[in-house]
Parts: sequence; structure tokens; C-alpha cells
Amino acid sequence: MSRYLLRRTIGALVVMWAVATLVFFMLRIVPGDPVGAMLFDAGDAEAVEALRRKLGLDQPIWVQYGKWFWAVLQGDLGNSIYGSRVPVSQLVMEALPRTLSLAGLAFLLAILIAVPAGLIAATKRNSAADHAVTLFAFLGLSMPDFWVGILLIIVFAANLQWLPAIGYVPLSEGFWPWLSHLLLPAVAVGTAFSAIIARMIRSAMLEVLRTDYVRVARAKGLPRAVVIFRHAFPNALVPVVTVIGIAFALLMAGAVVVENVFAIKGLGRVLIQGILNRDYPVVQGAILVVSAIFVFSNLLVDLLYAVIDPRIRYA
Amino acid sequence: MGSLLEIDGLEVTFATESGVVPAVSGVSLAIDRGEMVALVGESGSGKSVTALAVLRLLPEPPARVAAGRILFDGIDLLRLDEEAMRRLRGRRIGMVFQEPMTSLNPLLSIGRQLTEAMVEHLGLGPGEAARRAVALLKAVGIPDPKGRLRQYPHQLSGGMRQRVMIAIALSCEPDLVIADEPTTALDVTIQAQILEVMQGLCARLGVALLLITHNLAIVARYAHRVNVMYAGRLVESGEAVALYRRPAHPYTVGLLESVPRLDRPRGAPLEPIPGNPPDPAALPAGCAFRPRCRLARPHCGERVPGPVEVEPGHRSACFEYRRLLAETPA
Ligand SMILES: Nc1ncnc2c1ncn2[C@@H]1O[C@H](COP(=O)(O)OP(=O)(O)OP(=O)(O)O)[C@@H](O)[C@H]1O
Ligand SMILES: [Mg+2]
Repeated sequence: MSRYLLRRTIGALVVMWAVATLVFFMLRIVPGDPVGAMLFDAGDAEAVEALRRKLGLDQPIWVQYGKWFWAVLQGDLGNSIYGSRVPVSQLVMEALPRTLSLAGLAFLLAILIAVPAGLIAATKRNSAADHAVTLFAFLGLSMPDFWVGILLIIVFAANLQWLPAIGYVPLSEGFWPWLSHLLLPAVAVGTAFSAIIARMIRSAMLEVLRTDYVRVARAKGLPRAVVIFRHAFPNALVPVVTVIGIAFALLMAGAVVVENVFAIKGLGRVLIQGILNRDYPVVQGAILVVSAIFVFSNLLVDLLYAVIDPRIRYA
Repeated sequence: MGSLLEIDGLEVTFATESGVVPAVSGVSLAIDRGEMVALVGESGSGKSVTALAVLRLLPEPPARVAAGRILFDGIDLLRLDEEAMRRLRGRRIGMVFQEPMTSLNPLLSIGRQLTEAMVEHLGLGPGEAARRAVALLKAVGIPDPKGRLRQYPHQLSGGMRQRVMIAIALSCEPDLVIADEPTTALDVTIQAQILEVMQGLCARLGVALLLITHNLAIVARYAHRVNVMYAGRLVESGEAVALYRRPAHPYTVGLLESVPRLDRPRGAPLEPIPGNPPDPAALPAGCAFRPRCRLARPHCGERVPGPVEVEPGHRSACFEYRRLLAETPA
């Protein structure tokens, strides 16, 4: 168990390092000089040179890399190269709770819908409920999340006026204000994810229900609920958990897009602003943090695996 | 006084793409309390379907019990409501399946899987159930039974897992255990050990045993009575000794010649039955064994032969059994 987790943790750290390195070098390879973007008159060679020196861009690239990496290790993501040169870590820390709230709520809603839906569809195969789940999954997968978001705004915010259309209110200002602002974007982000998970649970359950050990559980005379929830469902979860890890990345990506529809100033906003401005410390920082969340959630999935499956726990 | 289990005229069909296929046709057999009965036949002859029909665990659909009656201790199982049937499964009829490698839930501990039927049916608390589980594991010959309770299936060999399955089947002290090819998936060297353990325990506890196998050599040592199935039908049944000494169906003769036997000279040639069992979707007219039978006559293709008593308690479904018996002097 501990060896397994140690291996996974080291793996996660290596991935993080690789992502950081990749981000650093990629931003330096793509065309578009931040100095050029910052100066109105890129023809003024002296001003360009001065600014480059100030930003450290005159040093050899591996020196830049070393310095940058050392700073990142200490939590210093650099400063925005614009305006008051706000520290990137501050920008990110402001935006992160919003994106995490959105992705987290989307995740929770999606699971809350997908698990019962998948279970019902599998245990009542070919029933009306099963067909309804299939239809829901099909629709959920075919609609882009920003489009779902716009639809939700039109129906629930503009027409019915049940929920606010845009903005974000921190949790510290009350649960309902926080939730009411996040509900629509969370549904928009979570719909496709929910559809994927519901279908996965359905097919995994159908497979598990055909296994020998489920037949043995029935031959023991266990009540149906015990057969399904003790014997079948945990086994069906094993393949689903893997996909949840991958799909969480999808969720983060979705949150980044949907944030813009709902005017939530989350990581997506920061990232897009950074890209438009060629503000590479901001872009680096934002990508790094998103990757860290992704890697960390995958680590959590590995942990969850070990909790569910003794074959991994005792490997 | 009726038998413990009485299967009467059982017919099971499967709905498939090529139409409704008969898997079991008109099978009747009985098992008395504490008796060991064998059900023998090649792959696909309908042995498992018969066993699953008793526990009402057939996948319905596509399976359908089209006719017949199954009486267990006087209870008409096919008419029992599902809840009553559930309370009977595991409690009064235990089952051991063919595949020990896949019959245990990989995510649950051995202890959990062994105690859950006792907790469910006998209302035992976890402590008492664990104590009995240890005793059961000891009885089926598993070393360090206490330590095993905390282990998981992947930590056990196939033979050990099958011992656990036997312990599970016996855990609620049922009246009947159905063992569906319990050793087919195992190493030849441990097959005998497992059968020995199972037979010994059933005898000691007075549990009746329906032993399903395709290996007629096994049957001689463990069964009082033998039922031979071919293509979904019972072709011969009788006391093990009588059936061995004077098989009255050419299929049984074929089975006997295709397995090594202790009562024949070592090195005597083994002769597999020529040909293959028929496709249940396209059974030949008349006797299903006719295409492979050396005694076949034209009339064998006209009707399906019914069971005939060739001597007391010994039945054969063959029109030509007299010619067969003539070859083996009584
Ligand atoms: N799920 C199914 N779908 C369709 N037909 C089936 C199904 N299960 C069994 N059958 C039919 O029932 C027949 C008997 O199957 P059964 O499993 O009882 O054979 P068996 O005697 O137990 O063979 P084996 O020695 O291989 O276990 C098969 O030939 C097949 O035609
Ligand atoms: Mg079988």
C-alpha cells in the first residue's frame, strides 16, 4: 500500500516537473515577443534592450529556466509584466476558489445524477427508465457545455428569473448566494461528465451482473440490495474510477470555458487574459496550477483505487 | 415419503437468434436425503442449466422453464415467490460452481464472503459467524484458517478458493449441495483432494450432494446413483455400480471407454466417442445420439426413445439396449 502510494506520488511529481518544463519552453518557442507587445514603439532598440534586461530575457535560456524553476519551487510564480505587476500567485489565488467551486459543484452534481441513473438503467435493463437514461446521456454528450450554459441562462435566469445569470459570490457571503450563482454554470459544466459516467456505470454494472461472483452472491440467498450494493456496484466502480480521473480534466477545461459565459473571474479568465496580453508569467502560472490540480486529482483517484481494490492495496 | 429433491419432466429453452433452442428436455431425477447423486454428460448437455433451474438462477430471459416440476422437501420451487426462494438459496441448498478463480468477489475478504450467508440466514452476530467460519475453513482443509479470514481471493490458489467455496456452500448446514463441475478447472493433482473433502463433509453432515461432472471416472468413487445426460435429455440412470458393470446406453459405454478406469488393465486404449455432440438448435430427428452410435438402426431416427427400466432402478433411453446388454454378460 505505502509503496504503491509512494510510487504514484513520485510519478505525479515527475509529471508536474515535465509539465512545468514544457510550459516554460513552449512559451519561448511560440512567436510573439512580450517586450514587443509591451512597448508601443518596438522600433526603439534601446528601450527594448532595457526592458529585456529588466525581465531577465537577455540571459541564456537555461539560466532563465533555472531561475524560474527555483522560484516556482518556492511558490513564486513571478509577476505579471503589465501595469502594477501583480504577483501571479495572487492572481491565481483569487481565481482558484471560483474555478474549484465551479468544477467541484459540477463534479458533485454530475455524480449525484449519474450514479443512480446508471444503476437504475443497468438493473432495469430495457425498461422505460433505461431508455430515458440512454437518451439523457446521448443529449448530454452531444451538447457543448457553453451552449448548455447559454440555454440555462435563457430559461432559468432570463425567463423564469429563478437564478442569477452571471457573476460569483464567495462562500463567505452565505451558502445560498454562493450556490445560486454557481448552480447554472455547474450544470452546464457537469452535464457531459454526468452523461459519460452514467453510461460507464450502466455498462460496467451490466458486465459485473453477469460475473460468476454475483451469481454466487445470489446463490447464497442474499437480498437483492446486498447483491447489488455490496457485490456488484463496488466492482463496477473500478473501471469508472479511472475514467473519473480523466474526466476531471475535462471538467476543468469545461469550467475554464463556461466561466466566460457566466462572467466568473476564475482561472479561465486569468488564462485567457494572459494569453491575449502575451503575459507569459501569468500564462505559465495558470497552466501550472491547472496541471497541478489535474495531477493531484489523479493521485486522489489512485488512492481511491487502493481503498476499493485489495489487489492494489496488497500488491 | 418423497425424495429430498425431485425433478420431474424439466424442460428449459433458450431464446436465441436462431430461434427457441431446447437446452433441457424432459429431465427427471431424484435425490434422497444424504444421498450422493451424479449428473454426467459432455459439455453442452444441459447439466448446468438443470442445476441452475433448481436454484432458479437461470438468466430469464433468454432462458425459460417451459415445463416440469421441481419439488424440494415437498416445496414446489417453480411456484415459490422470489422472496421465499431467496431464503431457501444458500440456507437449504448450497451451490459450488465450476470456476473457483472467478467465483469469489475480488473486493471482499474471505471472511466477509464466508460469513455473510450465515449472518443473513442464521442471524449470527459477527463474532459467532467468524468463529464458525474458522471451523469451516479448518474442516475443508485450509491451513491457518484465522489468518485466511482477513485475506482476499487473489491471495489464494485455485484449490484453496474452491475449498472456500465448499465452506460457503456448507456454511448454513443445507440439506442439499449442488456442485457443478467443482474440480474441472483445477489441477489434476488437487482434484481428488477437493472431491474427497467435499464428499467427506457431506457424508459427515448428512448433506445430500448432486455432483455434476463430465468425468465418469470420478463418479464411481463418490456417487450412489448416476444420471447420464446427452443433448438435454437423460439417457441413462441407475445405481453407480450397476451402471458401471452393465451400461445400458451406447453413450454411457462411450463415456466409460473414453476415461481411464481402475478396473481395467493399465494401458488399455482410451477411445473417445467419435464425432461431436449435436448443436441444440439443430438436433437430429429421433435419438440425438444416433449419428454417433454404432448400434443405430433406421427406426432410431423416427422417435425419441423414452426411458425403459432395464433392471430394477436402472433405466436407459435406447431402443437397442438389449443388443448392448447381450455384449456384457450379467
Ligand atoms: N445463456 C445461454 N444462452 C443460450 N443458450 C444457452 C445459454 N446457456 C446455456 N445454453 C444452452 O444450454 C445448453 C446446455 O448448457 P449447459 O451449460 O447446461 O451445459 P453443461 O452440460 O453444463 O456443459 P459444460 O460441461 O460445458 O458446463 C447449451 O448447449 C446451450 O445451447
Ligand atoms: Mg456446465
